[in-house]
Amino acid sequence: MRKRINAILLGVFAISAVTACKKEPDSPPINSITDSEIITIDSLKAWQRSVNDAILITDTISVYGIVTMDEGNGNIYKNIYFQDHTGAINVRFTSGTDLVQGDSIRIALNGVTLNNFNGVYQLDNVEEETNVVVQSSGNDLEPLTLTIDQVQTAYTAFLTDDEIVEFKYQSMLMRFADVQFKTSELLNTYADPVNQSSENRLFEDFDGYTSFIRTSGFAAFAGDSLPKGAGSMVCIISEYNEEIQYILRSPEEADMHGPRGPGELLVKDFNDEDINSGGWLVQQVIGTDAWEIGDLGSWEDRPYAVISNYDDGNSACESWLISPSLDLSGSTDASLSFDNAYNYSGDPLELLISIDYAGTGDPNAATWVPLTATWSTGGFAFVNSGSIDLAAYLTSNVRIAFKYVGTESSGRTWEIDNIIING
Amino acid sequence: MIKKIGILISLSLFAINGISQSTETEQEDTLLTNTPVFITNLEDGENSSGSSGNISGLLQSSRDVFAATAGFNFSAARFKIRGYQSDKTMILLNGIPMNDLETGRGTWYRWGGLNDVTRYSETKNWLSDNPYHFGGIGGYSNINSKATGIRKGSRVSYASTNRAYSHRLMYTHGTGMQKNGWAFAASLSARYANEGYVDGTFYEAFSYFLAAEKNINKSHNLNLTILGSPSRRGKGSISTLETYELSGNNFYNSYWGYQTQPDGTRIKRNSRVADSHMPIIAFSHEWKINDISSLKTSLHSSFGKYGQTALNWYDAKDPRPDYYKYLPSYYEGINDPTNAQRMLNNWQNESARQVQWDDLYFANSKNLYTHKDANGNILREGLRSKYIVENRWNNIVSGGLSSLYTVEKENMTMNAGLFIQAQRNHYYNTVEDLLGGDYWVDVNQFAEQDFIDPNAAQSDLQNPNRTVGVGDTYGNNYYIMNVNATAFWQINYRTKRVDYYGALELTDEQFYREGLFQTGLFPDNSLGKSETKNFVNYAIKGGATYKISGRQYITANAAYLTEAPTSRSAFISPRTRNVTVDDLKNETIYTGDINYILRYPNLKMRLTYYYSERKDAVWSRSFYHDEYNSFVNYVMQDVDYFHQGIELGVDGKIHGGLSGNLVVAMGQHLYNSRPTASIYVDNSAELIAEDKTVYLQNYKIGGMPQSAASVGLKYSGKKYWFAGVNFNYFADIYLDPNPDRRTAEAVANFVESDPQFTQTIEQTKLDNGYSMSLFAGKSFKISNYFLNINVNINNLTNNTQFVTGGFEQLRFDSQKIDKFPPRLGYMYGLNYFLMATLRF
Repeated sequence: MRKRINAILLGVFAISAVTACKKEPDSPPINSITDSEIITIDSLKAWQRSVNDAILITDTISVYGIVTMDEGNGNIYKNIYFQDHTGAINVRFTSGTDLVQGDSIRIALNGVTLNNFNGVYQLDNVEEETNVVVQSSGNDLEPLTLTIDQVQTAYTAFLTDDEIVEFKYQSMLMRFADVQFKTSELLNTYADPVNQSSENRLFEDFDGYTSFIRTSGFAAFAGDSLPKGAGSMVCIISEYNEEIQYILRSPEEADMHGPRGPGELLVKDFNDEDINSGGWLVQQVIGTDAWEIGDLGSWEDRPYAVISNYDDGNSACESWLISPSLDLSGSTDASLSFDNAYNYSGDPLELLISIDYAGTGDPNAATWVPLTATWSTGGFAFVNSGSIDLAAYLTSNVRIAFKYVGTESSGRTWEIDNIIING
Repeated sequence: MIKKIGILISLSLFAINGISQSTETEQEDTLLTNTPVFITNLEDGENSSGSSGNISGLLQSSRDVFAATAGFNFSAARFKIRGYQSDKTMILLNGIPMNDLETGRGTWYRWGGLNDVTRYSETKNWLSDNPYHFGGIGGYSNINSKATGIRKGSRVSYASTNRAYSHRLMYTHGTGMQKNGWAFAASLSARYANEGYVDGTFYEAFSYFLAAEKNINKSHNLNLTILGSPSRRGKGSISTLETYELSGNNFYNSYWGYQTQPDGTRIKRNSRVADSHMPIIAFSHEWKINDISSLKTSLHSSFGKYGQTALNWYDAKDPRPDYYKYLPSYYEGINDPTNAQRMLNNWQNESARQVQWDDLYFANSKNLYTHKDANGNILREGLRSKYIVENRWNNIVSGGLSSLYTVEKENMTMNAGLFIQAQRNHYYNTVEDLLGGDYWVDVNQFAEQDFIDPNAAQSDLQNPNRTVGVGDTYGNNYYIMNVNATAFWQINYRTKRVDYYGALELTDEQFYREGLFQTGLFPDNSLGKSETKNFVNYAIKGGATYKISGRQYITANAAYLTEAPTSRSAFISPRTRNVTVDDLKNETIYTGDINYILRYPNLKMRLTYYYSERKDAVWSRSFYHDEYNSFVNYVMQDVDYFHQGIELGVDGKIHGGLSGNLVVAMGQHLYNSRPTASIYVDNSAELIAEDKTVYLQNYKIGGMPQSAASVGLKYSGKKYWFAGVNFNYFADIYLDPNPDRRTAEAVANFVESDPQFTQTIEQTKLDNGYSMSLFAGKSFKISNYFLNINVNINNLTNNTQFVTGGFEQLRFDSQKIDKFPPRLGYMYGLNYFLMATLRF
């Protein structure tokens, strides 16, 4: 009995000696972060505005937020977009990063430069190794849903109204609900991967507003074709030279594969220096002076369509520039616009519309109805025609035409460009 | 309240004693591989249950169930008694100390396979008196290698197993002491595996033991022993969890690969082959001076080779298949899914995830190269090997004199010993295989990249611009010389109620390095002898046994030691220069234990509490440091270790032939200080960090279960048979911490709330695990022959998911701690050892 008690006692002592010494592992000295050491993106921007110059931050402060765009597909390089609940900012690094969209990060700002470059707020000279600490991954932010008009209105207000100190959507992640690339862009790729040059690609919404996405020639999807339908698009709002531009994170987020909505049906800008491309016709009724490509003058060096009956004297002339046949039967509305200019004296140019021209032969055999436009006042001064309503012609086989007439004693030189039909 | 009493009692009991140490973990980073070597414990795991070394325990009683279980059932999970490494156990051969002088460790490979000789070693696995030597705080094991130590008669055995080797054949014969005064004994064994448990490993080993003994007269006895164990074996790697998951094999071995033969067949070739043969010759004279005193004097020598091959490469991509840039995780980490998928596909294919020998040959075959000196003179033309297999040699010549004087009276025994030992380690590299090339250029490619001076890259300025071929020495070449002189005195005193002992030791340890190459990087301190370091140390221990009754005892032991640092840890970069750690100091160890012991015929029990501290150790490694972008030598000083725990072993008869046993080890093995680290650039000796504080206090020593338990049943039948089963449980297993991750610098970019702070410093605890083992045996007597058949099966349930240990890689990226994940080792799945022995 005694031996048993001895054994039990000894066991109890021994076990308690071991378990009594629960020893916590050591820890190196570490700073904890206080509320006063955390700054938000809107406060950073306000700070930059108050100094109005680049600020080299030397305080121990940090900003927390989520990476909304990474460098993964090469559309941006050595920078990311970063957003918190107060706003968004572009963060520029000294070298490429491994950060991934959806990373929740802390940026320790000591040593970082806070700057405003051409209107865009930036954190610059950030070192991924020392300034960035990933808190967690996979925190994808829900983009704001906005329209082209909402963004543009906010931006215009910021540019014009001194009371508004900040463009509130700058660098933010957003989503368009119903947009499509313009008809004129549909054969293009996002950018030029061969020459690695950046390109702007126009898109529009169903309300007739237009903007563009800008894509780097280094992006992995630079050579991808633009989607041809309509749908949603997620992008980052950026700006350059007082103009809004959008940046796409990945081609998957240009989810535009549904039926197209209202928008541009036809664009003829003559930039391919081909008067007939896209099915345009020149029908010569009288004389030999015909519509052709011109590139003189100061029209931004962009080719245009031109006609003149003067060559060491005027000669009689009637030449029609006729659009391809358009099907407006599926549209709920349609309109036309173009740029025009003229010089010298003579008959005005006529803008006509027809629904029964067969596409060959003398156009005078068909029925043409004149349309009203805003015309140039001469002196080769280009004006825009204004939006010409085509709502009365929501049918098939619609053509518009520019009818030029000159005589042996007079004749203007007419120039036409950027013919756009929306529907 | 009970806790408090416990603490008080333990404090008062152990105010004097001290501690032991635990030591380095088994990892070793080498310059070229950065791949630590993990020693598995199964390689010679022959013992059938319980007979693992006949523990001649306390008071000459029968075996100690705790030590037997720990030595056998726990070893598969890398359990270490009291958390000690092998340098704390003194291995003696006929009373001659055999621990390696350079590292202090036991060198079992020298007598591997001679189980008939080593089986009956006298072993104590804890602090105790020791009639041969002051010994280690982890106990001692004395192998009787005298000819009369081998039982008279013959014994032949064959074993079949699926562990490191597949077959073992052994023959042993002893004459016993013959009338003419001579005794002879011999033991021979061969072990072989074409492929062991781990893919790509092979085993070819032979062992021999020869002993002759002569009784000259009643007073004088001479014994000569010669033994050795030439062996070659292919090694297994320890790798990261990702490689195990990708390969679907928890024993994935990155060291081997297929090589196509001229006839088109493919063979498995291992890039890491250990090749050793280190014979021991010992000659002893025993002089029985009179009835009470004797003097035993021995001369011994050991010499031979120990080489390990590895791949080396120049201006070529890393050939190691588990290099981190060949893993999907690396590309996932840098946001590159294309390459991640490519690597994943590569790992799906068995041959693609191994060493690509054919590619290495191909690369060499396309590298026609004209090697010129700095003046443009052509030195060599031909195929310059981009890849070679090199052999890293550590060849030892050692010898010594041991002398032990013993006086034995009725109630008193006194031992006094003197030991003088010298050991020279010759480290050098040779070219083992040019892999189809014609030559290898002997330059330090890291220095070539870092320095403009062409001399800097020379391995040997005495012999510059050398090209080397198979068998040529290159790279580095140096001696480490150790000389140790130890005097020891012990007295045992016995009374009716209490037995006492006390022992003293005085040691002088000297070492130096002698460079045989004049390294281009360090022309002034690489060639010739370094300063000789000299350390004088002393140790004292004592203990008492209180005999409550003839069956019930309480014993206590305590020791205080100072120990010289080992030369292995003292030199900062011995491959290149004669420089030691600054302010080398002696370690201090204090340790003690208290034991309660029962010795009833039907119930045996030992309950022990131990406490151990080791102070001021040096810890040094070399590895690639990401923060400094450089290969560095990392030296920690003032590393303290702490161990305490309980050992319980109960072995009792239950009914008839049925007996049961219970073994419990609860341990707490910790780092116990905030060491300081200094970091040197390997190629320039530039000190890039000095006295950096490492916040290591209370981190767990990793790589072993800190606690383990075993429950077993054994039935002994009347007709000479037995069978038993054990269930073993392992707990508190941690990854050994990388010290540099526990520094202020490592977490300087973080604040407390950053997840990286915790990820960087937190120690990883591994899951607890279990194993089951089964053993059985039967003996037959057929006329004058005895046949024994034994079998034991470990890990009966084939549990291959149990991570028994591992360590954090020294290379790390605190921003992405998963970039260099820990290396882990699994317990072998079901494995067996079946042996038939015939004695006649």
